[in-house]
Amino acid sequence: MLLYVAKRLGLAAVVIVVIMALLGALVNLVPGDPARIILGPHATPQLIAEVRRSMGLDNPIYVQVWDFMWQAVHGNLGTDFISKASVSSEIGAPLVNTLILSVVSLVLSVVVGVPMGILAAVRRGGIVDALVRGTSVVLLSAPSYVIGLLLLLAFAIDVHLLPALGSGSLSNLGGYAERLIMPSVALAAFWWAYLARLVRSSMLEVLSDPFVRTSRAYGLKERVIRYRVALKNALVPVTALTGLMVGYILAGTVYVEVIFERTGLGNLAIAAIGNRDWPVVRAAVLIYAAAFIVGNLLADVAYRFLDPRLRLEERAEVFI
Amino acid sequence: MSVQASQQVLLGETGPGGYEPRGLLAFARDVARRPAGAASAAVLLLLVLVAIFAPLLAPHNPDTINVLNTLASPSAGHLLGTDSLGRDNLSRTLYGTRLALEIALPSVLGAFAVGAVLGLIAGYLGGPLDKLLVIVFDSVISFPAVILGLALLSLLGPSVKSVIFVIAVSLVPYYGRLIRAQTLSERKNQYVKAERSLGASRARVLRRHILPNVLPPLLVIVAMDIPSAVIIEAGLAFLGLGVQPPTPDWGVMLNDGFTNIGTSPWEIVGPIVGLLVMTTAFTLLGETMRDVLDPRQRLPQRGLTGRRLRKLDA
Repeated sequence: MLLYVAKRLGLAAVVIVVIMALLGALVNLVPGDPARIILGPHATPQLIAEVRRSMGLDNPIYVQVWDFMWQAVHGNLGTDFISKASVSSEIGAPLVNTLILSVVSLVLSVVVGVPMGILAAVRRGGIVDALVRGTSVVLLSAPSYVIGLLLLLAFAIDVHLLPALGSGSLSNLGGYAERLIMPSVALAAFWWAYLARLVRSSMLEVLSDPFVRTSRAYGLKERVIRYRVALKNALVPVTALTGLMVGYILAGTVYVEVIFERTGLGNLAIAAIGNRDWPVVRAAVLIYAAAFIVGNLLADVAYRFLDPRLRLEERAEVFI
Repeated sequence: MSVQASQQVLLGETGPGGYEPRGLLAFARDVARRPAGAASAAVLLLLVLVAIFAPLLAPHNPDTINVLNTLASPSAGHLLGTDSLGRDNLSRTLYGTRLALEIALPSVLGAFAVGAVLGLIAGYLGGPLDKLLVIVFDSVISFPAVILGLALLSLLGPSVKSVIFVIAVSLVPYYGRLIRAQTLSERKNQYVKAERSLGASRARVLRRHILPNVLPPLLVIVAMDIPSAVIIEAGLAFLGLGVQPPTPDWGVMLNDGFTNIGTSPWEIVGPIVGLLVMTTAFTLLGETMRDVLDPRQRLPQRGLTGRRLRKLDA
């Protein structure tokens, strides 16, 4: 287990370094003069030269990459082209909003999806079962921005049930939480369908296993069998999915922040692209990727930890 | 990474095998025999026909501006109303089918071709090249498609070509990893060793033996990725990063409709219905194909593959 965690950590570290190198070099890898692209067609030669200098483009590529990585490791993500402020200081507050939204959506997905799956499995043919099986194909196919737009139309345009816009401030917790409802539902709906289906089928599978029959023969209560024996086994695949959930939800926050006009990393990046403010875009992209890697790392380790069969193999094959 | 773990969970230990291949036609017949398969295939055929014959079906020119009739509600002349420039929403939705498929198909197929080659090389040759490719795959996977879009489209500038490129790049590592894993398990088979000992070159073994064994189950996965590509394409356009106005595109329409959502919600109706119908039909078709391929795995748990999921990151 320790060996596995060590190897897994090593791989994550290598991947982060590669990503930073890629982002450091990216302006040079795309065709055309990045300064010219960033400044648009009407830039004067002097302005282009100045921007090239301020972007460090007059240095060789390896110096640029090294500079970016060295600074990033020290928490300095560059300087905003427009405001001339440090990108790290500008990103702090929106990042907190985005992370809160992501974590709330993740929790909401699991807290609703898993019990729905349990109910559907335990009461086969019941209302929840019918609901899960009836809605899942559509929910699984609907993009989060469509769900977000529909929620906006339903609850915030004509009927003002929920506040539509902004993310509120943390000093007013009630308002802040209210503004989280629609965005997090938009991101969680897909996972309700997905997790319900997954938990339902894996519980049914476990319940038909011989060891469950044995437990019954030994006289264990049905409740104990269901919730202590079957559920425990059925939840392992859910852990394996957490890594994917992190990616889906992080990317989804970009859309949802735009739709509900929330302050966040996504809106910051979109605005920066509009302003051709590459340092801000690059910093936001780096943070998304880092969050994705950390989320996946935790999910992988948890998965190993929860499923002793995987640990027994103990080959710790990171490369498969 | 856990994408892998979930792939294992979702595809089962053996991968989506277990179906005796009797040719593509027999497979298609088996799929069409199921109601879900027939219905979704019919809907998709209809969508393709709409895309091809959009100019004949559309009641108006999708680009004709009428500033005297903007943001109109549905009427006999404009069944879905008009947008902020007075263009006909229904006609633009019909034309949007075109762009959705025009971008999704080449990006998924291109990514599959590149991913297949890289995955075969990594899995079969092994060694340092393999390790390098795995690290590259893992690095690119760390950017969900939309995030990759933020990074690349801000530098490449938005165009149909760069959108296809972004979607393809985000898919390549998934195919690469999947095919690499399959190749690793194929490589251990006796017949591969036998062929090698008979003097066949590595390239021949790859082409004649490993590729045909690895490919068929993956075609299902490719089918299931097309709707994800559609969703990403429209999503990028919705964010203003992808296809640009005035192109009649679902994402562009969502973007324009969202701006005016308070005054007239009609512009987003068409693209939303289009997106839902297209993606649901693809999902249903993919699930039916998977059921036919392996009846043992009919449990919904094997439902979508891990890879499809992530790409639905819209």
